[in-house]
Amino acid sequence: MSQNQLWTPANAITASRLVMGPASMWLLLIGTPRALWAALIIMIVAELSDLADGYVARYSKRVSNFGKLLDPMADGLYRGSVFIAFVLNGWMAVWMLAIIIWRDLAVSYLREIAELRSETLAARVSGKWKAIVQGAAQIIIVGLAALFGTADFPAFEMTAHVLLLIATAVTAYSLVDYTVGVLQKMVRAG
Amino acid sequence: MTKGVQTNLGAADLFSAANLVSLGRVVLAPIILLLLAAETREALYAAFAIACMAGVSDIADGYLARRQGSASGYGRYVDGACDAIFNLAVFLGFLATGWMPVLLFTLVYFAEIVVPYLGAFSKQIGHPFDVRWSAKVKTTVHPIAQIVLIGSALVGSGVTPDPLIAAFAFGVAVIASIAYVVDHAAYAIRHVAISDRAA
Repeated sequence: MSQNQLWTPANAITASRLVMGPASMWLLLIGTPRALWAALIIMIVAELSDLADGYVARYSKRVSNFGKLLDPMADGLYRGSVFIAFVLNGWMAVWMLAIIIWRDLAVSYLREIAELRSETLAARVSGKWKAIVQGAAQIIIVGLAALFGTADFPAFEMTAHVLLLIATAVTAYSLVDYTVGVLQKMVRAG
Repeated sequence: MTKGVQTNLGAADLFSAANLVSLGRVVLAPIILLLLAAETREALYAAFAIACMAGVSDIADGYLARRQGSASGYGRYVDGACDAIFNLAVFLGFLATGWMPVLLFTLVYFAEIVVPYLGAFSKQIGHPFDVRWSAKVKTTVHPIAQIVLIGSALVGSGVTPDPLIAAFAFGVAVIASIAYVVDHAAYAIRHVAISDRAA
């Protein structure tokens, strides 16, 4: 694998989420209305970049195994950074963040184990659902905070809690699904 | 062909005695997180005991793996994953209680997620990591820093560690995390460059 194969346009788009995560986190922690709007714009761009990178890779016919690793890593770090800010802002329970972080960690090691068996762990449907639900929950919550403010919107806490509960449940399901998937492959291979 | 690792491994290899000891730390992770978040002295005593147990289990699983000759199989990855899950639970507890600044937590979190991906990437390019010095330093420094921090809070009369000790312990832990990710990234980049020259 050469450096040219690593730095494709699709991978550059993916890697930009590594910057957008901490940037969103920092803005969310500032917490002023202007900062929340800026965070919301960055988060929407980040989610669009998640759609765009796969499209660009397929369109330019430069789908790479490196991209298949970089994409979930950048996704996990971007969304994890936003969730850290949610916890520190008091919008999210710490146990929810723990489940989300543990899932990303466990799946990253499952990928390493899969590579040990010369297989690249393919994205599973549960992983895609997890990404959609987490991304949607984050954008809705920050959108509500930017539009109405957290203090002036009494239902904010309840809405955020329900959305994050759903995101955490889907994340936990995805963890079980990936673990069972890898174990089943190993059992079949003997 | 990969070097230094077994590739003919089955599911049974995953559940060796050493790996089961490692997996015990995954059970301890949510317990210590809840104890730290409770912010009472009783909970801190229990968290201190669990942090010590986790440290002992990390030594025990390595010893068992070497004794059973399973150190080159899945053990490295199971041990690494269990360490990372437990360590991030403790650091998340420190973040939730306000002991750990968010920037430092984010650096530790990024390092823990990035390195396994670098590991998978290094296998793709045919140069899997052996256990590197930075991983050994990190797995030694993190548990000690955690035990010292919780111990420091217990030595005082409240439920927060001494600020100087906290600054030192977090500083050392974060430096170990940065070294961990930089060392592994440098290894991967070096081997991509070598492949380029060979091509």
